[in-house]
Amino acid sequence: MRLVGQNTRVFIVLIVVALGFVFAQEPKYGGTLTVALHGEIDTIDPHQSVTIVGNQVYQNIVESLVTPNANLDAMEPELATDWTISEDGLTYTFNLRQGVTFHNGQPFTSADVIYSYNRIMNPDFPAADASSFTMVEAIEAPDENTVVFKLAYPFGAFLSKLEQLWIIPNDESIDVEQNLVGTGPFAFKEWISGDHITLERFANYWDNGKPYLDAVVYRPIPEDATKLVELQTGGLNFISNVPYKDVAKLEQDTNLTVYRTLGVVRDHFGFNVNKPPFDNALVRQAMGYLIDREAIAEAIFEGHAQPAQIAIPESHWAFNPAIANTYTYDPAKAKELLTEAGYPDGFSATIKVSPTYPLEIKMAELIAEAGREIGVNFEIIQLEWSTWIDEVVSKGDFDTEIVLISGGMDPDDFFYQWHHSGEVFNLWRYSTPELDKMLEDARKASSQEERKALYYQIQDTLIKEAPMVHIVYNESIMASASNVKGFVMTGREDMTFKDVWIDQ
Amino acid sequence: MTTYIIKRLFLLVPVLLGVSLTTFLLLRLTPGDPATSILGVQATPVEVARIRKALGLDKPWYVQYGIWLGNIFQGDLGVSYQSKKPVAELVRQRFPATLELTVAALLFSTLLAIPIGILTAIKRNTAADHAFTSFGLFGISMPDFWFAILLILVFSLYLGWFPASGRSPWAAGIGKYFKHLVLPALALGLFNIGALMRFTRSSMLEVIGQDYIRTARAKGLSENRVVLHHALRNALIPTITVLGLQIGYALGGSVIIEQVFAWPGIGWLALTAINQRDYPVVMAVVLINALVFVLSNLIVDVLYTWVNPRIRISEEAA
Repeated sequence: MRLVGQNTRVFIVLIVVALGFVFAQEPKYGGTLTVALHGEIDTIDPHQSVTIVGNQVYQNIVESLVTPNANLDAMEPELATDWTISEDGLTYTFNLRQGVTFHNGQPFTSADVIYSYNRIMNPDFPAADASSFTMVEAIEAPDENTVVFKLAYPFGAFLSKLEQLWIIPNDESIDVEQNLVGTGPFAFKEWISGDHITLERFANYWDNGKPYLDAVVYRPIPEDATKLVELQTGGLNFISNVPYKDVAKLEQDTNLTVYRTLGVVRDHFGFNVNKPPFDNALVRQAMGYLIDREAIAEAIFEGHAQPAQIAIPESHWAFNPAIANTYTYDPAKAKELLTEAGYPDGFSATIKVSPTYPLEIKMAELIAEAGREIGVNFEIIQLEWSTWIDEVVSKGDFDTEIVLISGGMDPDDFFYQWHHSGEVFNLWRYSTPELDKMLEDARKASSQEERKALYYQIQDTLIKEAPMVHIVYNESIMASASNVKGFVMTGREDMTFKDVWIDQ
Repeated sequence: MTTYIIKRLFLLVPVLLGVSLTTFLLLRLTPGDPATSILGVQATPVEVARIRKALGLDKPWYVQYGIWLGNIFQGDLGVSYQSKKPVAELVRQRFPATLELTVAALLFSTLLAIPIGILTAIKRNTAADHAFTSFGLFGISMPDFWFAILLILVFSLYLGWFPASGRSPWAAGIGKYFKHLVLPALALGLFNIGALMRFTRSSMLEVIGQDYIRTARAKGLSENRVVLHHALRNALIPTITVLGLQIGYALGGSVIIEQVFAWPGIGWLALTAINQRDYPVVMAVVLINALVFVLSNLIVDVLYTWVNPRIRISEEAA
């Protein structure tokens, strides 16, 4: 079971690739890519940054041992050329790429991997991703070009977690927070707060001939209208987060190229399972039938969204086809379930949303309207984003919530941190020993078939217990001037420019 | 006069202390946690507690305020929780942009508003008066972000006269610098034009009706001399008071305008910092805005005596 839209997309990609061979153009060197960021970055330090915009910048400066492919379904070599995994799944041995230098001229060796790892795991360091490596028992460097990770228990998603181990040089004197040094295609030059961040081409980059651009300049521009006018008038030649209502207009403009993918960005409607009536699974299931996913995709996303049943995309290897189309828009069925649950006359509850995610407020309105038909009275409460985090995530003070979630590659990313007991992201506080065990087993199982079977069961449970029901997968949309070539969009919000060139 | 100015400068101390304490308390009372903002939402309670301790957020609020105050008196504004840059450096980078924008907006609005105000007062109830008065009402009632986007669509997208966003450094050329400044200054100045124009008009009308104006006319003075010399000088006194307050409005308005035009000033910095609960940055920006507001009003008060020598500052009353 695959989505029609995705097949079409694959087809278009094939045509584009074929045309690419026919009109194969040699990349040209030179030029500056001026890129809009959705807002100011938090920090340039890859081990501390927690924002998407921060990641969009530093991913051009620093690299990891491995990096996901564009489909986000396998890890590819980056600073490691290859690796072996022991039979028991406990030892990962990486051979490092040789002849790589950092922007400061220092050669890249295993000591840098260990230094970077230790920096993240230092208990006094406010690392963003220390929890990614809790399974690592020891890290060793038998020689300059080899790194060995010893795990405490087998961990199927270990390679995908390694992406967070961004490699910086083994040199205490470098102020990473102000002057990031890496091995990436572009070197950090300056960051003027509120104005711009400039990266320069790294001439000694290991991937021969790359990158093509002389420089990348990032400008924080929070206002959508301003960003679009700057793209149309040539002040910018690359933007992300294109508003859905403007996609059609930009696609008609022959001076622009629009990039669209259906990735891992998704919306859900979640319930506080500790609070009546949402402590009753039948009520939660009923909510699943209150959502008109097609109408939401059309009315709110101008068609740039697909109905969703579960966190994991339908194209993913671990997606359980048996759950496809479980929840449809069926108010009569919802009413039936509510009656069965003991709420024949409905109930009143709140939906907490944040203006940081304006589309989710519209979803709440549509769901509230559907609720009224069967006697469910939803009050929509808008909270400023930090307050939303405080009340919903930290304190669990909510009835229901709607929010956008992004990210994920390995199935573990989609389920463990969201549904295991005690995890911060288990907003809905749904927890059973059975589900916990399945999640733990799935992350430890080493063969993909074994893991797949467990993830199928997990999806069955989540659909039936419905601590949250999904609404839609969102398209991610970026745009550039049409002379910008070579950009490949992933299903995440990545903006890597090592293959990008300007036809000028 | 000098004594008066010195006394007023001394008054700054309690004002800034009051502003800083209020801001400090408001920040602590606002839900949301800087530690979560730094570590990301996925942070475990243990990590959050560690960061809170490292930032001193686990101490009682009065201790935190005392530490902050002690640092301020040593000229240390602290370090941004997010960017890890010294707050003084952020302010140094971004305050000039706000100052330029505010001054340009005020200059532009004053230069337009006062002549129009005079004109509409003299030509009361004519078509010109009605047109300009309606425009003034438009300026006051339009939301500034809406007007800002309208300016971008007309002057950047359709006419292509001015860039839609950003600030160009002096070094890149004066022409380019002003091109970038025009639209944000227009957008920020719009409200001021409306308010100032209507104020000038009404105080001119009041003055024109006075006996001494009739006397001046009766003496056979030219109308220009009557209006510019006798009437305007008196009418300007209340207008100058309003101008002092407008500086406050402009600083407040710059928060929105800077964000729309991606103008790298401290208003936008404050907005980002508030969203991220970056306390040291918010404190510094509020303090600086308060300082600018108080100082500019002091200047306005001094200007009074210059415009109208009848007003003498009573040194005792100060």
